[in-house]
Amino acid sequence: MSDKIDSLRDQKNSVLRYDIQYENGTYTLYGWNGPLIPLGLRAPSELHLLPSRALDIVLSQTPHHEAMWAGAIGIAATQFAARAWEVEGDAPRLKERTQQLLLNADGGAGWTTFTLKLVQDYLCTNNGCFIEIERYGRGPGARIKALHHLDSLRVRRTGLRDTPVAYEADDGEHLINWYNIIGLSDMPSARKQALGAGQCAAFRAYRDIAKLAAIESFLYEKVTGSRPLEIHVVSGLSNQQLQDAVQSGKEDAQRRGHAAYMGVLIMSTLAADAEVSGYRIPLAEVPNGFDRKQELDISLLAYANNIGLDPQDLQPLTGQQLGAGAQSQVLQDKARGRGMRAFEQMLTHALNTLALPASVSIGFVERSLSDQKTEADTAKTHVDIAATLVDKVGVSADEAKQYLVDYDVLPKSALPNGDQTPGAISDTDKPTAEDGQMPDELPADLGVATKDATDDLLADELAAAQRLAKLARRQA
Amino acid sequence: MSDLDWLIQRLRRIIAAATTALEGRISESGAVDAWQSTVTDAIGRYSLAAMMTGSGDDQLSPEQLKAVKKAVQTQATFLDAFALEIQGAAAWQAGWNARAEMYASSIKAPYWTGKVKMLPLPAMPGDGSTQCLTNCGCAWDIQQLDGEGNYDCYWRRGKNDSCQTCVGRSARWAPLRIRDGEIV
Repeated sequence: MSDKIDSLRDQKNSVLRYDIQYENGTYTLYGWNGPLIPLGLRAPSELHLLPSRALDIVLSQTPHHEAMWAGAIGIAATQFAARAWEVEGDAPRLKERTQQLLLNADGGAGWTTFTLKLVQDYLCTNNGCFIEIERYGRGPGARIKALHHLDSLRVRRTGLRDTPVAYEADDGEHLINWYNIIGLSDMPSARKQALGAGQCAAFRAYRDIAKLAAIESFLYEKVTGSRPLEIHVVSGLSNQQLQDAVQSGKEDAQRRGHAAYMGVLIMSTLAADAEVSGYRIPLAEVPNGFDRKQELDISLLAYANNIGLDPQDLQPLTGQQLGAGAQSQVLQDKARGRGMRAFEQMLTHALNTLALPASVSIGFVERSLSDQKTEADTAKTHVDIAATLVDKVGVSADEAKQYLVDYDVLPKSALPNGDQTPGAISDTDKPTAEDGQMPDELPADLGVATKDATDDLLADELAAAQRLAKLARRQA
Repeated sequence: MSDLDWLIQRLRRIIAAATTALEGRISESGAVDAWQSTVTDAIGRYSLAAMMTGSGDDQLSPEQLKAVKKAVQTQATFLDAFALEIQGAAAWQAGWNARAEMYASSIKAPYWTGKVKMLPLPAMPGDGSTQCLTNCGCAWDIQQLDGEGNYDCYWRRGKNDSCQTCVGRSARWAPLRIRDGEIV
């Protein structure tokens, strides 16, 4: 097992092998090791219609500027990373191998770390998040070795069909083949020139982020006196007298162990013999009628809407009248169809289509007690209906079982004569060869069609064939 | 009984059992598909075993696996057409059981491919390219010569009542010469 996990981590076929492996524990933010860019009212390149790397650098830094936004991103990322998933399929060894592939994602860091990084890139860059599919060989049929997160700021969309992205490793740029990459962006642009980049949550909520950051910064500076927020012009006071007063104030405050209230810049005039008088020029202040709680509520709602979270995740309903319980449930239910649920769908489809073997699939499952109760209640309803069909309508027991299989109350194995109404396949099912068509490859559980010799499924078939061959030689 | 005959007999029994089970159920939804899947799976597994038995090596190379895949895909194509015919019929036809059991002999081709060590020979006994189809009882007799890739290959008839194709081959390929790995 440790050998297998080591092979999932070695990145021998990954584009990440071109990055420098630091031995002394130091690191640099390759591609961007500059200072934190201040948030302006308008993001740079906001006037440009197409996504850009410069804009993504700003957007990716937004959690550093505003704590509530950082918290919202953290909540969305951790909620998603904590979701349970299942691997479905008919071959037990293949399912186990797929589970190990996902649990050891990102060079062995694990599924949780892997998805935390993906969500951050998805929410805070228009370029979106990227997963490298490391394979044992070349070509779309080569067996999958490992999955890695790629830093979105290092990935450039090329617009080329066969090599849709390029990765800026430490030693230069490397093109990545289409079968080695999954790219997911929020609200992908319909414009061809965007090459699949979109509008992330940070872009859509930018003004609220910048506003709330400015408000909190103003309040912080006002309370700590760390920079002048207003100018008082005073006449009748010489500059030297002013400097002495300010300096003694500083020293006095330091002696007492707390910062002085330095939020006011005082300018004296040259008319030293005039009476002391003056007027105030504000450099920064909140508007009349400013309500901090109201502004916070507005921003938090904007954050929740743009990320696709239930607003209660950021701010519980408190002090509400009767009926808030039902309102809470409605809000929670509505959140199921938004934002992060779309990301879950995209990730599920991409992994099932490109990264997992043909005969297995991954699906996220609900684990909350309320969901389990809902499932149980629904199942009971269907059982009651089936019983009524048998008792009152004269439907046979087999037909009643078919009904329960159709609604996923019973497994297909409960039907003695097989599923008479196969029905539709869901988005997480893998399609099978259609009737009447020559299969392009052998049935998946035969295992010889497109797999390498070391594939686990083929290994099962080979082992069985080896036993037969031994018996045959013995009989001869 | 040779090792190949043993494998063919076992596979024939499996196919016979699956086909007998299908007899009264051809109108049931999914029954023919299940039969086709069972028979294809069995042909695949026994083809692998035949390649191992013929080559004498339980660890198959990618080339050997590819050869097995090609052979099984060929049979899968024929089986697909057969399944369509069954699905379209109103009743079970006499002769279908025997026809299904003939697929067991299809493993002769991968067996001989392994036996001749993947030499680029134009045909294998029982690969369906002769009038006798999978009933072919002929065999390759490979004689290795000095130098790498040099062989004289003889098509030997194994039955007195061989078909015309096999009679012609035994005369024509006596021997079929391979020099430096290529047929000359």
